[in-house]
Amino acid sequence: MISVRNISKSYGASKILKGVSLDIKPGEIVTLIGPSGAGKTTFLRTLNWLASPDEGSVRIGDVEISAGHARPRQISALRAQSSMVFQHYHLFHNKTALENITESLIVVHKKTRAEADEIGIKLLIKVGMQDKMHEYPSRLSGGQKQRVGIARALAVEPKVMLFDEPTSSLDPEWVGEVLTVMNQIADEGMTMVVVTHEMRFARNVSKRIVFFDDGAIVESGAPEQLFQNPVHERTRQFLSKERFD
Amino acid sequence: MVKVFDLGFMLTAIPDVLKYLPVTILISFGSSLIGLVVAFIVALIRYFEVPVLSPLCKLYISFIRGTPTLVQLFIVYYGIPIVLVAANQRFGTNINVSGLPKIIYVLFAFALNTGAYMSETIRSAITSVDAGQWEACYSLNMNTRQAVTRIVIPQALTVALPSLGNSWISVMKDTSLAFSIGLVELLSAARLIGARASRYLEVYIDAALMYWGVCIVMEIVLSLLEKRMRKYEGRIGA
Ligand SMILES: Nc1ncnc2c1ncn2[C@@H]1O[C@H](COP(=O)(O)OP(=O)(O)OP(=O)(O)O)[C@@H](O)[C@H]1O
Ligand SMILES: [Mg+2]
Repeated sequence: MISVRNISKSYGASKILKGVSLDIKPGEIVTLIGPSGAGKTTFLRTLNWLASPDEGSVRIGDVEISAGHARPRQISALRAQSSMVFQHYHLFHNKTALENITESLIVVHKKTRAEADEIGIKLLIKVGMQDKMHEYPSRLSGGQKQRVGIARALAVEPKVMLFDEPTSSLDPEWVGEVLTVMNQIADEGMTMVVVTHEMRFARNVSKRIVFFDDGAIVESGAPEQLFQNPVHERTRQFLSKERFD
Repeated sequence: MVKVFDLGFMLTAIPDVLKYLPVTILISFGSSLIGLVVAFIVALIRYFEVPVLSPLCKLYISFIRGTPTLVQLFIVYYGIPIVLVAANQRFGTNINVSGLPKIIYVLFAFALNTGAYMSETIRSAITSVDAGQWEACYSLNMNTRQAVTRIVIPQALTVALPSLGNSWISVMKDTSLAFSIGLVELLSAARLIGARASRYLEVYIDAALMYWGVCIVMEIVLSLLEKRMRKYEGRIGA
């Protein structure tokens, strides 16, 4: 489903990604873990070309782009393959919960308002937010915002969903409801790439864990294997600081 | 005995002065609207740092800021006819230069003036929109135009509104400068009416009250508009 080849990315003089390659199968759920500043967000952003890599290539589905040859139409084709859920939600402030979902359906996918509303309402029901569909994001709790964020990302029928620390800005009381929705999407067979510090999710839901440090993949493996027998000392050190409850 | 202050005259002159209030309102709204279009274009050019155009826009803003409004008005008033005459000769067009109403010059000059100030307001409002909003747009495969028109500008306008309102008020007050090229608007009308009776203070007070009144009405309208536009910020009931 996803094939990343030797991606590098620098901001100014500092090299953030140092040749990252990763393959992900359809329906696979991969979690990326690693210390702050490791480049996890940057990596995720290269998958939909929000950050354009300096070297390497990204393929999702049958759309492939190589660094340096990206044309707007290709970028758009690549972006159509995925959608993203952000740590800070990034809901459109000037749109209601429902409008947040319908916006891209109407503007990008050229659906009528009625069609878009139908899809939007269905998804809000799915994430348990139908009661708040006419509320603006400023009047929603963090957990509610993130559930709308997930519904918005689902609406475009992506082949892959990218999650960047979807629960990290939430008060602990709201984490559960967001994880529940993510579990549900996982059960439906969605291909997911999830950056998270949520080790419960990493262990219980994901099929593979990738440990990222200093702009590169240090090691990856099934949750049991990586948690119980990490090969690298850096992984061991990182895991010893994370909570698993 | 000559009255120091003729309240009666002040009141009876009101209807005559008031007749010219629409001219003032027309100039201030007309040039603000044209100016707003100019401002958006300039702000976007500057925001996206469009080559060649962006430095030109910067020069334009610098010029407008650094010269008195009255001088700008004179330059437009004396400069445009020369340009038009030259254009007629060169391209064989037949624009009746002397027949151009003065209000056209005034609208043009004030639009350019306020457009420069408003473009800076709008640019900084666009800059203030959280980068995450752009990211969300792009991640959903919206293009830049869609992101700008549907998400960024609506949010930026809310931020910019109070400042744009102030720009409108400045233009409204500056319309009195139109007097210097002989356009009869509120202030010059007041002066003419005052001259007939040789009483000036009364009519100037009339004029002042009218400028002030329009301003107050506009402030109320703007604050209602702002409330409406800010409803998504959650301070006011949704
Ligand atoms: N747009 C940018 N411009 C300049 N530097 C950037 C930019 N985005 C990220 N960086 C830098 O790249 C490095 C990696 O950032 P990134 O956000 O990818 O890390 P991360 O692994 O997601 O960390 P965290 O766990 O804190 O979210 C950081 O040092 C950051 O300062
Ligand atoms: Mg990050």
